[in-house]
Amino acid sequence: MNLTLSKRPGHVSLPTKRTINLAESDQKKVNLLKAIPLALIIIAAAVLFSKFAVIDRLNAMYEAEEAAARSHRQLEKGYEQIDSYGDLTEIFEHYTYRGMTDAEKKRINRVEVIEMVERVVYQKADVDGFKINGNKLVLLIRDKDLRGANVIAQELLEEEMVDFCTVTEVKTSDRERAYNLYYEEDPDYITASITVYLNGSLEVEYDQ
Amino acid sequence: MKILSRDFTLKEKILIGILLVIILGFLYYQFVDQPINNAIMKAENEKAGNEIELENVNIKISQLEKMKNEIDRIIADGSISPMPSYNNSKAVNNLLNDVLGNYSYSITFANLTRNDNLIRREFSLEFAPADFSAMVDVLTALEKSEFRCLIDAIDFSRTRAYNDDRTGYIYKYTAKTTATFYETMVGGTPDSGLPEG
Repeated sequence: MNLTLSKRPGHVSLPTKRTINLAESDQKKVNLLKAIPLALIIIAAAVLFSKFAVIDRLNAMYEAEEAAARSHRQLEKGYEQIDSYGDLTEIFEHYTYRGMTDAEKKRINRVEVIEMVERVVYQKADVDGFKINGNKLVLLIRDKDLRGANVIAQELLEEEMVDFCTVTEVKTSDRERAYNLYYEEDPDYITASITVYLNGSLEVEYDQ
Repeated sequence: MKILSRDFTLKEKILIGILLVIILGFLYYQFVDQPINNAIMKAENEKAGNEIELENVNIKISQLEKMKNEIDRIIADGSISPMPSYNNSKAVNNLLNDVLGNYSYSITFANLTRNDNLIRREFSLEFAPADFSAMVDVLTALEKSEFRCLIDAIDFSRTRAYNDDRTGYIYKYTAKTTATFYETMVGGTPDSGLPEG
């Protein structure tokens, strides 16, 4: 250390510090017995937190989104299937029975009834006529005798579309001849009225 | 590097720890928990909405399948024809003209009736067929025509008379029937003749 007086008045030269006093600070010694378990605990907590609070939550989110996407795909498939039916709704309106009454829907096919008359009756007797109204068929026939008319009634009763059948009126020809000269040359015969109640209609009308 | 010129006291360390936990918690809530919750809720709402809509779609598909089956059954059965769209009067008249041919006949059409989309065109017909088979042919042609027609009442009778030189008999046949042609408003064009539905 060189202490010299400065030549300038009033100015003091201070010595230049050329050495440094390095004081050693207190070094804290790490207690490994405490630090390592603590570190492990912190790491474990971080891992558990990441697992349950982040990863699992993210998985739940992905599953929810996948479920939503799956339901959306099912919905699209459903709409595709609806489109595949085309104009079915409109076509159906031309075929449906909707709006028709029960009586209309259950009405016997009239042509089938007439064909039954032709098949069962026309081979055996003379048919002067018949009437069909609702579920009732009335036949006017001309036969040799009542036995013949009865056979016809029995055969009609065996038909699937027939619910009930009976001979309701019989008249011998002599009674008719008195009123109709055209039948003078005819052999003896009877005229019979056979009433047939058909299956299929809602209301079955029976004469009193 | 020391932030302060001294070590943190225990109290300070505890407070800093609590602060860190609070900050981390807030960051977790703001950037992890909330977005995930929102995404899950959105997905669940979307799924619930889709499931409700899917239920309706399945009901619709079931209805369409039933319609298809009914149409197939009706076509296979062949017992009833489809209904044309209103107004089919011109085609009906042409059909009657073709079916009745040269027979002597009388047709009376009733006023149209309407039940929602269903239109009924009722008529009564009286004609003189040549014989029983001819009567059957006419009624069959009506019932089996391309237009839905249901026959209601039929009154068929014959009368016998001598022929011209009185050497034998001839039969004269009369057939009376009431029937209905059915039409639908689907695909139809309303006009002034259409009754209120």
